[in-house]
Amino acid sequence: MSARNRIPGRPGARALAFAAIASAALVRGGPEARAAEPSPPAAGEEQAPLAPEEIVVVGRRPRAQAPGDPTASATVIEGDRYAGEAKGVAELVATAPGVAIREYGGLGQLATASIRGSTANGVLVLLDGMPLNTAFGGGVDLSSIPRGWIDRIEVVRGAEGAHYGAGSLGGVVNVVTRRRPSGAWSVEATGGSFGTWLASADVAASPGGAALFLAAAAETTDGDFPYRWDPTPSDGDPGRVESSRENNGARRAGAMAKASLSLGEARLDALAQLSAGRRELPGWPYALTPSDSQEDGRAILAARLSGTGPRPDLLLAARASLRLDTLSSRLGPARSRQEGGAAELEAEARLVRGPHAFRGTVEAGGEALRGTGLAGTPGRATLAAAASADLAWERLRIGPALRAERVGPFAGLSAKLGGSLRLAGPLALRASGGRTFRPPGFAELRLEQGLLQPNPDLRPEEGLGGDAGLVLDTGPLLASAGVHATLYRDLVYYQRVSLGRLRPFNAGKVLVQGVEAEVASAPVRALLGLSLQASYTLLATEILRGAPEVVGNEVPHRARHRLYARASVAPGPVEAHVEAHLVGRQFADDRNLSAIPAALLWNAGGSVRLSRDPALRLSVEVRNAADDRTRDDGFGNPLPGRMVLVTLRTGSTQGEVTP
Amino acid sequence: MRRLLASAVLLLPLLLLAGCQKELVCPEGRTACGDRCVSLLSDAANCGSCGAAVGPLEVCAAGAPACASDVGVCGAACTDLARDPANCGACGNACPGPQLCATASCVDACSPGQTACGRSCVDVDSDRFHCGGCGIACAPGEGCHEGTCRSDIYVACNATNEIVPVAADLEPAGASRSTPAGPQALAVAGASVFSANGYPSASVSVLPLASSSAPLHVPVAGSDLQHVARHGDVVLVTNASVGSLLVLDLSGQVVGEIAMPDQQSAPNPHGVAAAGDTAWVALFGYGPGSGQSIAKVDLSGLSACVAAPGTAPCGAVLDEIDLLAVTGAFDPPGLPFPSSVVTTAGRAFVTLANLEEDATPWGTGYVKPAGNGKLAMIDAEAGDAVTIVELPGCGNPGAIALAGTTAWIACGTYSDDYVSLAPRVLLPVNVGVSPPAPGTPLPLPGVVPGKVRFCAGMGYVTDQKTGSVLRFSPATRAVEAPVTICPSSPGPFGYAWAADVACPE
Repeated sequence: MSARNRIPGRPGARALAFAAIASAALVRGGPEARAAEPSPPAAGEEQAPLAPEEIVVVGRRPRAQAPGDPTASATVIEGDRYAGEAKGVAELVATAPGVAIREYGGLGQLATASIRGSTANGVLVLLDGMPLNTAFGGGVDLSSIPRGWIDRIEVVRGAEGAHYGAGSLGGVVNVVTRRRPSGAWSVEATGGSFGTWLASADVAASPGGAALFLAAAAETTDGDFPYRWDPTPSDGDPGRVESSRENNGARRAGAMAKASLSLGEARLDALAQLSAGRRELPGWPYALTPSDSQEDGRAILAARLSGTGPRPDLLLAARASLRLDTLSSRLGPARSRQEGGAAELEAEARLVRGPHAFRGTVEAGGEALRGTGLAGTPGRATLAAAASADLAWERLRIGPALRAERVGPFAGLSAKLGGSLRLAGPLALRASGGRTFRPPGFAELRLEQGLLQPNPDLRPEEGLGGDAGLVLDTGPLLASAGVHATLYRDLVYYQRVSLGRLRPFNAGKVLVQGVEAEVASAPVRALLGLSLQASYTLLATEILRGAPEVVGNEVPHRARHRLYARASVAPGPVEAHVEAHLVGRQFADDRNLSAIPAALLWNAGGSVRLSRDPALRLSVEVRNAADDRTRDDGFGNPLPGRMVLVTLRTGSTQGEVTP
Repeated sequence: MRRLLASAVLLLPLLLLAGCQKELVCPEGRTACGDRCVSLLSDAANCGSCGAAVGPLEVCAAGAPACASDVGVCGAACTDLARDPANCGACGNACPGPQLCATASCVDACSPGQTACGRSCVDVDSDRFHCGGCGIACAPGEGCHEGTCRSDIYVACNATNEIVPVAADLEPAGASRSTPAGPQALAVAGASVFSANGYPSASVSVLPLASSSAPLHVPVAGSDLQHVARHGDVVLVTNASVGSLLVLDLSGQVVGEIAMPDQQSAPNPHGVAAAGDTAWVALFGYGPGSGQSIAKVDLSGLSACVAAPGTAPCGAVLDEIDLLAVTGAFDPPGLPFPSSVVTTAGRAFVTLANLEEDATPWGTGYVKPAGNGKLAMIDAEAGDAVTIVELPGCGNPGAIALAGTTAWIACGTYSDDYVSLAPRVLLPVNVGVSPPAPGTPLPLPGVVPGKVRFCAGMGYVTDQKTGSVLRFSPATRAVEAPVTICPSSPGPFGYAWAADVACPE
């Protein structure tokens, strides 16, 4: 099902759809972005703001088809559905099945994603298609992406290296930033508990024939929340004492500019993003670190030139991108700093023959890092060639893809074969299988710091898996259910090699099987704008390699059951919703002796429209509504109790989500 | 649901091709036999190859069956000349008719206290071939004590997550016992070995001395348990991660937990010892902002706490001795770093490592001896007066154990850089006099002394750098060669560490 089918056939809707696709394709296009899509309107031809009703239909429920791999098991989360709720990337992707978010302390603190039981390292996180995973390794901190930028998030599950590049053992999180038609603008301000303030603004214009979109966001939180601390956690006595989390603040700011310019038959898209943050590191409750902190910064520059080739069904494109990262930490008396940069060039050709599309890319790039504990300035070149196809018949769609890639000294193939068969009406059977790898990071290969030792002899990790499921993705309703199995091999685990020293080895082998299901409805006007959403994940993990006492056990910190449910009503100008996150029991250790009990989190909120033109909406969001002050991250670090956020949002009409 | 998952796997031949078979990873020198890692050189059930069990009177010696040391050989068969009615006292000397064989002699009936097992008379309380009942044989090296097979000594092998039983002469004595994580400290209490296990997840293992009984593993918070000490009917465990003192009853149930002072500043409790209603806990800390003190804990409520867990606290911190305020407890810029504790005759003795900050390959840390080690003597009868004793020739003192009125202190550092400042020795200190009198250091060539224990009059010292244990005589100061007990962890970078040693009292 293409985007065109879901959006009412008004020119403005098509323009928005194209803008979204172009935005996703700015850095890495997908086979779905065919030359047959509507030609990009000239910058000055951006359409008038859309009628809010049409946005509501598209944006009020997730979708199950990722543009980057249409046959993959995927959930596309629309940011508009959660407008006014001040949700970041972590909170949004936690609504999708197959995803587990690991928070390390609340707002602004480190948050990473796991898909299908993978480590954070095994999830490729993209920002507008640009990989944020650095050569250093260690996964991507989702809280480093300003929440004010999020337009939608594509969560693609499975070994997706053939489509997205090496590193996606468990899957991909692609954050697509906002893009608005010319003349659109919005401003949002949030204030709330624990000294939390958020602000964001964006505007779209068309100066001199170009389309320009500017956005900025800033957030700060003191983070000093109260919690109930257990000074004697092993005695079985639930007695806790009131305590206050301190040195837990975070600040972040970012700015982004996107531009599009028509150059005759060609089109130039450019993107610049800059973000920086500082967070305090409070430490474990039993070993507080009142002076520890961390600062990070990231800059992204990307440009893409595209146009029709020598024949009309051939689209050619070239892309250049640059990413710079810094990270500095103060841990007790120790200081560490890390600076890195990555650059990439890509050439792309797409051929559309009837209903079929073919895509080929060649990429070359490099990445270098320097930092504390790393000898010299290690760097590595990357080279990749990929080919994929999107073969469509009346009922059947098949998407083979192959990618050969060399990352420094590590070479590997990623392959994917997916297909969907339309069974009846919008009901389709979807299945896919794939294989990919993750090259070891510099941290694992070269970092000698503290108790960590490097291992230059590491091999890439491997992910191999497949899934099958039924998908019903039609106008008012999304319903999907599927099963999957993934084998992770040569996983890099840090193991003790002497008194307290740790060294990484390709020691892990894990089998993950599971069920992923979700259902979501668009608002039903006849039922007070009622919309329902639920996603469920069953994750059965099994350790296949290790000591006799751990083989066959569950992988630590992988909950067997996860459930997210949401209900909202929107009668007239008012909206109200309630959410529940249930994370089932999991184990803290590979011997499966120490169980972390199941946890249920309630959120609730609502909003009221104060004005239609300009759109003005006041929202209140209550997180952890039950005020459970005993929550922690599974490692003993406390998470905030009840948090109230009040948001005032205004903007041109199309930026508002209304019933 | 399971059927659904199974179907998924069947539909995905890709996964089958990849092979989802399980792979056991065994320590160096061990082989996977079924679901166990065993030494084919010494395992009685897998001698030379998996499944090749030795006979009832045999041991597995260097991978081949051999007669046990206390049985004879008749023809080519191992024969128990003390009990075999067909070879009673000598090969071919069959006891006639209904006679039984008792202690190598044919008798008409078993003497009182003996049990007839077939036509053999045995003492099931001490007979290692009929331990606790006819036909119940102890593993090679194990002894039969009160009808239970057990070894004499237990060694904590940190790198391979196991407790290895050995005989008093450090020869193998039965199968190793697995622990959930690296065992760091041991104590025998009641009829069990209590093992404090650390990284990556802390737990206390309760391993019955009877080798045939199932262990109990009790998960606790944190990842670093430093010391275990028996005190009456409870076991005290210092939880360095959490900054608390755990109290377990002899069944292994955690009946209480006592928070240490300044708990959120990481006091890092290490050694603990108790006498009467008082326990002393060495708060090692990490630097100037944590620890550097000794906590005095009131245990007068222990009985009530054990009788009805959860109804009353097991104890509370009464006082804290700030060593930074005690003259002579450290040599600036060093810090005291109190490590281990013993109690005797109303006094507590605490070793003070006296370390200063220095560069290490991984940054700076308090690793360098700032001078001689110290011994703090706390005299309860004198209002907890603290006396500091210099320990000449002993840098970075750690473990301390009592043999009579002599405290033996392990000295030396793990790092080779400071050997001149802290030679690797045992230092005897006469604590029966006041002030305590250090003796002549006992050199330990090739060993970095870790823990020290005394079992049946002999001293045992673990090596921090290897899986070896060394035996010495505190009376004669004779030192035997180290014996490798703990295997290396798997892989080319595997390591071994004999972290502690314990024995039944």
